[in-house]
Amino acid sequence: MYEELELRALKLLAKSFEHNQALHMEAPQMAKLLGVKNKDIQPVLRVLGDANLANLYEEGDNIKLAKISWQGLNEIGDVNLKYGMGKDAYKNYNAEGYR
Amino acid sequence: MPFDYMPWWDKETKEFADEVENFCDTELVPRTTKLLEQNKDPMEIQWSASKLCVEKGFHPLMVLAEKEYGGRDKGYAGYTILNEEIGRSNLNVNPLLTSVFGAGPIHLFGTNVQKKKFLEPIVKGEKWASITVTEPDVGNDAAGIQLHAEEDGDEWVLNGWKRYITLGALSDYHMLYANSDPEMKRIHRHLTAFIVPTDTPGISIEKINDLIGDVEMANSVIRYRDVRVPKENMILDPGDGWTVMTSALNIERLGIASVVGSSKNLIETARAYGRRRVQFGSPISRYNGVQLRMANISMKMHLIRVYIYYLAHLLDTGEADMFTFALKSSTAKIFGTQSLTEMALDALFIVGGDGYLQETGIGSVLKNGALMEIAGGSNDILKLFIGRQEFKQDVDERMLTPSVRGPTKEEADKL
Repeated sequence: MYEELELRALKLLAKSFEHNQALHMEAPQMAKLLGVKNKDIQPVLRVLGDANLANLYEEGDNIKLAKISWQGLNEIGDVNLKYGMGKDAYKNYNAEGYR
Repeated sequence: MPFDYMPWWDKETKEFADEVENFCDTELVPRTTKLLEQNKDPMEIQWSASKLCVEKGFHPLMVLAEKEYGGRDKGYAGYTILNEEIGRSNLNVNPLLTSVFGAGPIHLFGTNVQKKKFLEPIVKGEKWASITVTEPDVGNDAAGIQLHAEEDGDEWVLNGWKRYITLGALSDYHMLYANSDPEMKRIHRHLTAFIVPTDTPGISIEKINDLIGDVEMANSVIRYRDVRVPKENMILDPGDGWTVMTSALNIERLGIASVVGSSKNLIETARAYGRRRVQFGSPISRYNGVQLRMANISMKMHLIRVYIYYLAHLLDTGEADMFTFALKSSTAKIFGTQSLTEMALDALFIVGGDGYLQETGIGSVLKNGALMEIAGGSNDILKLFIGRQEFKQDVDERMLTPSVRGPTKEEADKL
């Protein structure tokens, strides 16, 4: 469905969301982590943005920041938020018993 | 010290204030003090305190709600009195306060059927509610809600995320705001409010946040994936969500401003400590520097008290409605919470090293003050709102000097 790099970029954005739900990723940082040149990540992010899988922040024609959207997260499936209790958060939350 | 009534309170309100004060002194504080001495954890203490309040008829929502829905109909004055007194008890009753904020839209705008079905069990403390506004991309920009709602027959389908949801993992209902029509955002008709039972398939708690304060209250990151909600769970109509949210936040902000109750503890702690702590051969209360700090606490506490009860009076008498109330409730929220942080610091520095111990309780007030400055609309964004509103008002030319006013009509007629 997607080119390999597009899928890797989407997974990377999902991983970023797992670390901190609030923050966008910088395009050069994504390029570096994916081992491609900055100019090569631009069209990849454009495809993700056009498919509503990512929210983009642009300055002029240059995509500076990207973040996975809820559609992108649904596409990825399960995510496991870092430093929390993951998808079993509710089950593992012992305070439940106080109610 | 007798309850400091407002001069405009009627007999019933004064009696209610006495009743609340008596409940706090004879039941609430003794029970929680005992639990604290037994080293019970904060979560158990606040649930125990909350349940006791419900059992004795002192749930803030119960005090506010109409009698036909299990409430006591004591108005906003009663609601504010209770919040202040609970604050004075230095107790955390997050399950109660969060439920008020979560159920506020049902109280304000719900149909009779919705009130019977959803509000009444919350009023009685059989069910609990959370308010869900904040999202991964939505903080100060509350209108930017992305959680998506799509109509499908007699249901709405919800997809998206919410975070920083107090009580989110433990509540029975989420008062949820969703983007039902992104095209209508320019006129703020893009949001719709829903009552979402938390056992609905597709809702998952993805993380419980670990907070710095002792207010840790199942503060949750929540995912909604193809969550189906019946249309009868919608508050008002599609597109009314912004109105519902901003109106309900007014109740929340008045409630938050009532944190002034905690400052009574600060003043008593500082008073007792200042009189009895001797340094350089004299009680420190005799030193000007300490008196100045005490004056800061006292002035702010008295001003906030008068203002929150004035606002409650405006609401109770119908002299202000929820649509015009935002500026006033924002002012109370900002001044109250900012002052609480400042008062806690002043008290802490009067008490010195002892104030830095958990035992004096000043630290928990300080942490709560910082949180309250962020919650319910951050103080910074509310200040912008107030500033903009002031510039939108008509200029009263009577106050202006000729140099600022410019040419008069008479001068213009002569041209």
